[in-house]
Amino acid sequence: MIIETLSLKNWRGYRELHSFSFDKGFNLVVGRNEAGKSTLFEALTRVMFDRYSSKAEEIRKIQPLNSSLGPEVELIFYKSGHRYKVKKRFLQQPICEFFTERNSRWDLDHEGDKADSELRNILSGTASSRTAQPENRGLAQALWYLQKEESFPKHMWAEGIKQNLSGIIEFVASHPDEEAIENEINDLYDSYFTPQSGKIKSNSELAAIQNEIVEITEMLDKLHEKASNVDTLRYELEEFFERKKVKQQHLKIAQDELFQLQRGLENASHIEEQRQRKEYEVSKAEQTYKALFEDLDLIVRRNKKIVTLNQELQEAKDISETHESNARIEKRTEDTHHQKWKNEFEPMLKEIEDELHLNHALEKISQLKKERDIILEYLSRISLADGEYQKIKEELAELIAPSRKEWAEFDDTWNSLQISEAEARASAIRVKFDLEKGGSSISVNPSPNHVDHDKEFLILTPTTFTIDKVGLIHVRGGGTSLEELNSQSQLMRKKIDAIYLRFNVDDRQSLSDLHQKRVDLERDIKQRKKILDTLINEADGKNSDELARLNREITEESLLVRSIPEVWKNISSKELHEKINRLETNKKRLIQDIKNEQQYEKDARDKRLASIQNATDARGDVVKITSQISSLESENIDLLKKYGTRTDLELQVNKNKEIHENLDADLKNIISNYEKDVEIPKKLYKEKEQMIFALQEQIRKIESDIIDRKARIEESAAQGLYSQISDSEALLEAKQRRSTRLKLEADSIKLLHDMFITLRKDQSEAIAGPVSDLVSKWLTDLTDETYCNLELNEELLPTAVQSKRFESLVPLDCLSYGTYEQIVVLLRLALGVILSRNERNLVVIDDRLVNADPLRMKRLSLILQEVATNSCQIIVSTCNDTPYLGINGRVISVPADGKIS
Amino acid sequence: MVRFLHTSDWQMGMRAVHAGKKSKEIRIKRYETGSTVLNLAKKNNVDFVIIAGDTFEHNDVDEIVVKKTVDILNQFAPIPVFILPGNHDPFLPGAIWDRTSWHRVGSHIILLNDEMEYNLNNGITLYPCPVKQKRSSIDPTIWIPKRLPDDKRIRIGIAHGSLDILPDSINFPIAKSCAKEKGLDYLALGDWHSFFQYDRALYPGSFEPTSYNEHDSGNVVIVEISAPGISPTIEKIKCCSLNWAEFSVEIKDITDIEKLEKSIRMLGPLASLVLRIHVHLYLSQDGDFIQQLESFRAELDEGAFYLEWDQDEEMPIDDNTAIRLPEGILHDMDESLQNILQGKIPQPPCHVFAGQDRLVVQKARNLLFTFERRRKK
Repeated sequence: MIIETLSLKNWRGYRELHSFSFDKGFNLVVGRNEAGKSTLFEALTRVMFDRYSSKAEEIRKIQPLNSSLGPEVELIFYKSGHRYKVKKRFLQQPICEFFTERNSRWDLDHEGDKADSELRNILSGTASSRTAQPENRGLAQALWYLQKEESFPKHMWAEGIKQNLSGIIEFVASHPDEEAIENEINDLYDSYFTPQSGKIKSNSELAAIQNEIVEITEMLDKLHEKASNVDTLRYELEEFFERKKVKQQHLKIAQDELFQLQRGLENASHIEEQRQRKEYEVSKAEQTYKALFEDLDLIVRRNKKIVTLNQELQEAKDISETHESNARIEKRTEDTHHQKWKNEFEPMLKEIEDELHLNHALEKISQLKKERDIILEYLSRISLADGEYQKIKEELAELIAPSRKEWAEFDDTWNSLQISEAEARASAIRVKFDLEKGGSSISVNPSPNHVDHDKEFLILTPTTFTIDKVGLIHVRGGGTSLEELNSQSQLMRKKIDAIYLRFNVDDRQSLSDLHQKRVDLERDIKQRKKILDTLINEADGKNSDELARLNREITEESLLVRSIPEVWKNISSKELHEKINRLETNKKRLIQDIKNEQQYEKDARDKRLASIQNATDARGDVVKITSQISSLESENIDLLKKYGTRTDLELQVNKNKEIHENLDADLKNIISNYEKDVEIPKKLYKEKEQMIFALQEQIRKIESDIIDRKARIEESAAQGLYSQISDSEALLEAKQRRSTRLKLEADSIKLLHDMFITLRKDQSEAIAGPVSDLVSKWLTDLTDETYCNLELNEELLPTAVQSKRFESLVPLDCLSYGTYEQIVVLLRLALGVILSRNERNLVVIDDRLVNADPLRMKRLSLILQEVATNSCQIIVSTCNDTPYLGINGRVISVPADGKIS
Repeated sequence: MVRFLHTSDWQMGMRAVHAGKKSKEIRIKRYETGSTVLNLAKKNNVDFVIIAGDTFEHNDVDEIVVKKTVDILNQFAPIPVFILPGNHDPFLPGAIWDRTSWHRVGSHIILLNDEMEYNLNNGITLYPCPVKQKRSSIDPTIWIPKRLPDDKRIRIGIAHGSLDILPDSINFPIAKSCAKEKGLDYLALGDWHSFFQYDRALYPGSFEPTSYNEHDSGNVVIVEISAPGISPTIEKIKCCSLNWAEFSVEIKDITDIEKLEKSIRMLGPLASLVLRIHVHLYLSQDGDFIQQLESFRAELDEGAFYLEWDQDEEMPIDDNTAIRLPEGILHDMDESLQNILQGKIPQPPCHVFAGQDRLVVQKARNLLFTFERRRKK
């Protein structure tokens, strides 16, 4: 499709009717910014693809400012060998008219929506609910590169190619019905498979039915397991019936045998009675014999015991006497030792203790007196030291002398005065009179501070010299500083005089002496105080209270010793101490002697008491043994009363022994055949009875098992297991049939889908090849082989360029903006060339090559010229026509060149 | 003279798995047929009824099946009903006959569980041969004593097994000469589901069909024996509720559809039909013919008791009449699919699909043409 003329009215800046004619080859739309270049392309898209009745906001914006007139546009274009005209008015009384030129005359073929629709069909556009977007514009999406639009569609080219770039599809597939079938394939495919992974959709019927089959199979497995359990129950039931039958046969045999054994038991019963009777007789005889024998044995044993007891009785008597004799001896020993310590040693101890007590008192008095003397000495020294200390303190208090601080202040003042006076002197005017008239007196007022030996006056203040017969000389000098120095000196001098007056001295030395005296006194006071404190510390409680306490104790102790011989009082401390030691030693010895005697006494007493106890015990034994002997003799007499004498008893024992032995022999005789006649038949009978019982129990148990199995079988029947299996199997079969059908359909549609994709991919690659080749050729020329090859993916989207310099692929987004824009333009030109094999198509480039350098621009011009000449109608808009001057074509200036009709 | 109704193989509780969702309804239908037999017995004024085995499908059938069957049997009173255990419901411990629910049967129901003479009034003797195990290679009628010369009774044998008229009748084989040798006036047999008569031995067949391959099932017989030694009069009566039929047809043109339709309509009312139809459809025909087939299928789907319709389609290869696909990808796809079906390797890039399953490829091709047909409409 190429355009011939485009006319506008009431369209943004084009209020009046403007018509633009276009060359079939290259067209350059030139105009300054805001001149209306893009408005032309806007009009082109709206007339071709927008519904005339649209009242979208974008359409409303077309209306010129302050105008209510409907924007109008008319386009004449060529397509497939036909010349068409379309007229549209938007908003106000919208119209759409579609004309075809036939025999040099415009025939109005369609109006309104139908005209819109026909136009879209011819241009392979698609309807849009609002204004047409790039994806609705058929080929124009690929060939028109407009302002404010993406370099490439937002979606992948694949979407554009398959769904919207129907022009390209037409070229490739060359059959418009293909899409309908592709949609059918995709719809059915999408109903089975996920678009991304190509796996069966979880919400598809196939997936659902496969899940159901798994579930039903699992359920059936469980049901079959239950059915298998029922079969097992049946096998068990049959086995139980068989066992019951066998057991019943065994029971019948056993019952017959028991009947036979019952007869043999009657004889056994008789024999058993005989044995029981004989056993009773033997038992009685044995009891009688045992009673007699025991009596006899008892008498014999008692007699033996009596003999033994008599011997023990004699021994006990002897022991008793021995112990009584020992007790008497020990009593005497005990008394002897008691007398000795009580009557002899204790008085001696008392005497020594008394003497020792008195001597201790004497020793204590002596000690107390010593302590008292020490205290008295300390108190005397402290008193002396304190007196001296107080005296010096008083002296210091009375002394008027400068303190350290005062002295320091004085000293500072004094030093400052010296310095000040020295400075004054240094600054002073020295005046010397060397008069010819000697003897002339010279009086000075005020008196000069200093006159040296050369009669040189040192003038510090204005001074008047009166010289006899000469007159007065007024000297004023020293300037201000000297006066200040004098003034300061005078102040300090006054301060010093005041200090002298205060301390009643005349000079510095006197004051210094006073100060030194004060310092000496203060040091002396400190020393005295230290001595006094040392004495008090050394006394450590040796004060007058302690002295009083000692005097009190001395008095108390003196009272104790007042009655002692005088000679004692006069002995020395050492003698007293020795005496006390001697007495202490005697005392200890005596105490030990007393303890020894007491221990001897205790030992003797213990022995005596033990002998007494032993004698008592021995006497008790005598009494006890005597009683036992008497008792035993009495019991024997009582026992023999039944039998007469012991001999009679012995005869009876022998006789009964013989009776017992005879009866026992009879019993053994019976027992020897007892097992055969009685026990075996009884045992057999019992065994048989037990066997019958066991069989009956077993049968009962089997019957119980039979009931149990029957009940369980019936229970499973009641649960409807059989029909559950039937229903499940039927359902499973139906599901499996359905699943097989769906699976076949899914596999088939997958095959179709995959095959379609494969073929489509093949086609895409077939398109991409020529496009890529063409772009690559131009790119190599344009960039001086910096970039040599454009990589397109199967969706016809550029992905990267091959860099010769770096021998690698460079992604598009790594390129400079200018190069990127140029590649986009080249791609659209290449698409234009490929799509224009049979018919020229319009390529629009709306001011997109502004970033190209002059050399590239020149090369681009050549490419544009080549494409415009051989393949496509090209419209390029620009603000600057200079780079394009070399291209043959039409230059359209806007708006001025827009011819007003 | 005696008149009795002979039936067998009720197979109550039958699974009917192949009937899919209708299997339960098919089970229920058998109760209706039981009631039909009851009406026939009363209508024909029979002296007694013989059920010659397999009253129940299995000893495990649900309790409700036993209860409902007992309810039907109890309605036969006072007509005596002699029931023989068959190989599906053998007389074994824990069998149906042990069930508490079975013990609700009335006194007119006689379970023939012993091999012994049952002497009825009017000189009629039954010789039952109950099945007491699932399988056996011993003739169950072997115990029946031969008729003595002075025996003037009407002797009726009742057995369940296979007449040895065919080779390999190994389970409960019954001598074909049994009736003649034992001097039986009638041998009431069960086990075979299709009607079959051999001399005085007769299988009435299952009273309700159980599968598609039964030839003449769904009958009971009314037997009348006027005197000992006289050939019995047999009246076969249809009693089934459902008709089972299976078809496998190739549809190439409209005539084939008409033939199929006619065959099905001959079977009886649609509502009584259990159908399994396999259609092999040649797609190279015009759309009207397929439309007609689809309409008929829809009618059957709606009207028949049960329909199992299995259809595969075939698009002939290189058939000039085949619908032409648009040039381009679709055309290439069809060419590749045809190549695969012919065992050839398609041209690249479709050569990668050479190993596809033929069924899948055929189906894919059918789909492709279905889409095309739909598009054209």
